[in-house]
Amino acid sequence: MRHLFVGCLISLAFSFPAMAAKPKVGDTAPNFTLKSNGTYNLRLSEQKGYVMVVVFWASWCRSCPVQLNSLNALQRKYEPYGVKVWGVSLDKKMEDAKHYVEHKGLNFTVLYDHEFLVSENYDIDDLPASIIVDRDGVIRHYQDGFEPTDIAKYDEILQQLVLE
Amino acid sequence: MTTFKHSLITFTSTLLLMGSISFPAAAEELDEVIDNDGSLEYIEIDEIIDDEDIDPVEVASEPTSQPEIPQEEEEFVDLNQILYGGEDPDSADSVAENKDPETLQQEMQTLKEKILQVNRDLFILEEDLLFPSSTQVNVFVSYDALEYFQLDGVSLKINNSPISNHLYTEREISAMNRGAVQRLFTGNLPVGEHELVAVVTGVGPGGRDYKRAVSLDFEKSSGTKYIELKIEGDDLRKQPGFRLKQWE
Repeated sequence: MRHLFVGCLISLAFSFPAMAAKPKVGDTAPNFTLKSNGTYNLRLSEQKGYVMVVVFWASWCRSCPVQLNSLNALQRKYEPYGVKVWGVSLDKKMEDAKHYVEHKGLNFTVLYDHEFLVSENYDIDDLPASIIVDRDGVIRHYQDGFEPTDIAKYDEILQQLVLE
Repeated sequence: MTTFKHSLITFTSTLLLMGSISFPAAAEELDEVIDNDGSLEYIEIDEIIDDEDIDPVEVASEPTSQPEIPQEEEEFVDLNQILYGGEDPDSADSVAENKDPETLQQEMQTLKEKILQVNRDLFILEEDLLFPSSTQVNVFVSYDALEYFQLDGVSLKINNSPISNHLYTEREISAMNRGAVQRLFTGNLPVGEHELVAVVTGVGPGGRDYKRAVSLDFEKSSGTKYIELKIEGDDLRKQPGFRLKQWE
């Protein structure tokens, strides 16, 4: 019994450092490269100069459609001002995400994190989760979940970042 | 008994007489300590110590609580030396005010070049420390097959252990197609026989998904090892070709 307890302690001690810390507002957004629904893979660090909205979602997530539709509208509004919306899908099968995007008529870029490498790096607990990254690659907003009334807040943040 | 009483009285009176002669000085000191209003005056301990005649040799011979640490000469980096070349910053400011903008621009450019040089030297030094040439292994990727193959990713394994997994972006593919060579992996390996496996994924002719693996058995000697993964287009077969090449 004692050996079991010691073993548990050791395993806990080794498991904690492996967990990535949740990025905070003001931190540089952790870089990632993922397959996209376009021709090429996409890398966050190559998007400096753009205001990036990255939303983590999945086709099975019940509360995601509200945010995805809102961000789809904001993408249309702010695209000419250098705002890009990336939807990072956590579906294990890429086909599920593709089908969902086509079905919902979403226009933003979809990335596939089917191995959960990026979502683990960002320590995503809840879906949807979204971050807004400014033109210098710094996280300016982080939010778990989304309410329909949050769209005004996102609109305001994007307006401010576009003007900077 | 009467004689004893008499001698006792004599002794006591003698003592009283001696006391009245020897204690006046102490009584005067007490008068000094006690103010006119009768309250006690505070006397600092330093004053008491100063008043006492203490032989300085005796004080010096007393053991101190903390052992004396030999003072070393402090080495410091002169920031002015680095920033202003040894000049006084104030005088440097005044000189800067007198200089014309073009000269300042040139000086700034020279300074930037120096910083870049130092940065480069530091990078080389860091690499030498982290990856000594006796154990260093480098894997490079070159790509010249845009017509037949669109590179998506490369995974590397050495001795069946994954060492690198890289996804290529449009910018990287464009740069490599223009002749850039990417250093995909730098690591350490002991001297001896090793196996390198590279798995390349992408889109082949006709838009079909393409996945090929190439392997190389190599011997790591005492020098740095350079291996290149070459992705080339085969014009005869209209197919991409993959091979691993050792450089000495």
